[in-house]
Amino acid sequence: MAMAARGDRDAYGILVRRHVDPLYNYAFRLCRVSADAEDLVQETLLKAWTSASSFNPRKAKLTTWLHRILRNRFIDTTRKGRIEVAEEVRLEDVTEGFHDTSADANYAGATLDQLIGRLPESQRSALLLSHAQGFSNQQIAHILGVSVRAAESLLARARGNLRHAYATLINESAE
Amino acid sequence: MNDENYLDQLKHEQHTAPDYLAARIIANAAELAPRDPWSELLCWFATRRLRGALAAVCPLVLGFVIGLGVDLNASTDGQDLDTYGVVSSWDNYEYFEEYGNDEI
Repeated sequence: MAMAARGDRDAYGILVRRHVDPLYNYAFRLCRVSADAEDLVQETLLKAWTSASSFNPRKAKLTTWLHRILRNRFIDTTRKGRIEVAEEVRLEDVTEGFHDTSADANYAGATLDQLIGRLPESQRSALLLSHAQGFSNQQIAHILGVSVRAAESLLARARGNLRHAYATLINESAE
Repeated sequence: MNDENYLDQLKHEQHTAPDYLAARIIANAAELAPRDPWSELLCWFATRRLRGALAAVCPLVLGFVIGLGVDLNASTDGQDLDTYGVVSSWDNYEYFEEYGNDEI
């Protein structure tokens, strides 16, 4: 990163190739539209290139810093209306559309994505950063800009809401 | 499916970026130069934070100026200097009238 900050394009190329997949995974699960996810990742990595000198390795790891930039870009773009996300609705309402009893893994994955997509943004981010991206609670707190305790609370609420929605879905399927 | 299973799905089902994305980002970065810390700082001030900072500071400055004006006024007990002079003269006049110049 230090080399990229000095304008080394080769170092930047290595950095991009190393981080593009995890960032895309997070971005795609946040906006659920491939084109929007690509734009988000591109904006994040270009911002990292132009602002490389402001990265402080003592404050955060590079991957944490990049995820923080991406999450902030996502919030900015949704506020500006460039990315449309699902309305934040009660999870009890989510399951209304699911009546397929198939145990197919793709269906389950799609269902999980949809259920997560209906969580409030902060809970969704906390859950994805923990379970999809593998960050620690401290890193999640840094990315979300909250205290560690608040991050833990967000995670607990996200898991609770998701568990409740999943249980409701399975009960409806069984009936 | 229990909690562990459905949350594990998140870890196992990773979405990978399309092949062209990294190349596109690197190509776009070639057109941009990294900014030095000073221009970064300038950029930071030029964004919405500057507007936020001004919005926070302006009421304070305004309050300080108004407070300063109130204090100046309070130092003459709410009277301006001319009024004070007239009243003072009247007091003396009455005093002179009552006792006369010779008794003073």
